[in-house]
Amino acid sequence: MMSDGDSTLASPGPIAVIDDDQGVRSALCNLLDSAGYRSCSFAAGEDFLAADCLPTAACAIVDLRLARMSGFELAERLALLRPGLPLLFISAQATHRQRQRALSLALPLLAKPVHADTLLALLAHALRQART
Amino acid sequence: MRHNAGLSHRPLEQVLPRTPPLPENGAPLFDALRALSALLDPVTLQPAIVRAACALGQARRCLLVRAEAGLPLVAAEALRCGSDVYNTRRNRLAEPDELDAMSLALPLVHGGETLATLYLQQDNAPDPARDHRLAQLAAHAGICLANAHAHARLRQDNEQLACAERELRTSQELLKQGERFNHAGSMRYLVREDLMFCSEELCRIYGLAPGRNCISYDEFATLMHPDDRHEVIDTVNAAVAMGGTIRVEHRICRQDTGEVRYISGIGKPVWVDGTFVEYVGTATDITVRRQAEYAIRSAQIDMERVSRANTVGQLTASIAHEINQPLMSIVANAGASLRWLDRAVPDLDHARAGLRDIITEGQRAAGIITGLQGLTRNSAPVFERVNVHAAIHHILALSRSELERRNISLVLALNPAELHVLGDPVQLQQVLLNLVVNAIEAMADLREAVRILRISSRCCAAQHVEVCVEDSGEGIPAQAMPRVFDAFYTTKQGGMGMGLAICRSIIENHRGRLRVAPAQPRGTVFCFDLPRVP
Repeated sequence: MMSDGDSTLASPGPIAVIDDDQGVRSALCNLLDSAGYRSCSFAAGEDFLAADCLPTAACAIVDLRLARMSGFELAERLALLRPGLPLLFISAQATHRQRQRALSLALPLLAKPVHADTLLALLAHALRQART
Repeated sequence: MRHNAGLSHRPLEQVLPRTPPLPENGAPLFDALRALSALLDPVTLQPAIVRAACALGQARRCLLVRAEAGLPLVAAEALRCGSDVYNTRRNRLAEPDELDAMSLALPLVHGGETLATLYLQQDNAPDPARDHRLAQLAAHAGICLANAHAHARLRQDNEQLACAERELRTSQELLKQGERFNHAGSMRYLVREDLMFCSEELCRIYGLAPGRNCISYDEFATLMHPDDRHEVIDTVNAAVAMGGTIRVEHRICRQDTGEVRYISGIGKPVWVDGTFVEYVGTATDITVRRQAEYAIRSAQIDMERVSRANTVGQLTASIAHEINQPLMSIVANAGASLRWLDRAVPDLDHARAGLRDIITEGQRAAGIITGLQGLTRNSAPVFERVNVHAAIHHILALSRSELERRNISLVLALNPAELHVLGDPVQLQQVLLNLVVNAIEAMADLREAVRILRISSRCCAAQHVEVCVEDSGEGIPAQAMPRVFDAFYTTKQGGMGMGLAICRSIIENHRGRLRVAPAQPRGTVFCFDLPRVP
């Protein structure tokens, strides 16, 4: 797994978008595509965990509120399956407790609507950090 | 010499000789007759008769006896003491054998009817002349007594008449006062003559000039407010045509000041022998009441709007979430489109696709705002075919963040898949939102494990749809159950107590019923039913 992650350094793997809102999903993929990334998207955390792109994904943008498994639960699972995979949390209305939890995990939590440039900058930063 | 018992009740013809001799001494008889004639009151006449008979008949004792309920009643009694004659006990029942001991009985007859009988106890020898005078006295006394009774009756009738007149005057005055206090005038309408007689208060209410208390129906109609006149006349004509009761509420313009007043009128036909020639009615000035009603209604509408805004306000987190989703999409698509355009070779197709998505998402955001405005707005209901489950899902979308924030599990049992009712979609969503928010609040103090919001729908009796919203909270105390739909009744801190009152009135306007019951094993369930449409 670790070696898979390392192998994507030169040419980053796809960015996974996990959000239950179809409109948000397609817009984020459009943004990622326009910035030169490859993207894949899923409506639920379970779908991503079962997807082909799980081993190759370079980063996951995860909405906190998902239909079944929550964003935090997905993060816990990914920590086991893809340790070191950079994660960005997004939320349309995060509670105080959710913000605390993201902070304790040292993961960024972005409030929707996130400015496109900010998101891309944070993504680039996360990818760089993962490389080092 | 004493009379024996056998002679005591001699019939009159035996007492009267065939040719009565001239009275030897007529003066005492005439004096007695004159004195009796002057007495018009039975109370004084009866004692006078026995005194006169006692004196004239030289009797020791004289009784005037009347049959009262089959018993001999001594109405008056006279006793002789030396040359004096005086009255003694009266209005007593005769002792047994008392009358048998009397020597002479003279019936007092008038118009063939025996009014009373005079009994005399004479100690001295029979004297035909004396007894003849007695008979004349008795004949005259009968007439006097009859006259006195007639006079007494007349006086009594007069008194009753005067009394009735006094009562009538009092009741008229009371009626007048009552009409004034209640601002209610009365009238009589003679249908054939087309004349309407108005009471003083009615004239005052309508501003009719003094003395104009008798008007025609056309004159009456001119007093009505032009906007109401046609309808009132139609109602009145329809009622009069079939002799029915008239009930109208309308405005008038007072004849004197032109002021507009609100009137509640009732008229009923007076049926005599299967027909009617007149209507009697009342007109009440309800202006003050009507103004108060308007004020209350307007306050209530404001209250309802505030209450709905409060309910929606409790969901700000949910609403923010709903709005932020399309905004996220818009911002990301805009960023993407700029990047497609900024490429060395601009990718117009991708840029266009992103812009199109922006339009779609912008409309989605606008739709959410419109929906929210609808939930807080007071607008006249528009009935249409409403998808019940879509309405439930819309409300749940708004509440979802709130449910998650409070760790409330949602259990949905919506059956069958497609259910439609006839109703105003916004109002039905208002009801659902209110019930859901109430349920959420009812579970605020619970341990998280038992926080369950259950929403179910089902068809009952093919023609109805039933929707239930159930919480697993503390429940409503039994004594509070009947009051939960009352306006201003609330158990919430800072609550206004309008929510459920509004919900019930909305559901009733939809020809449904909103009920509350304890849920099992705990909590409360609110259910409403609505007529189903295909």
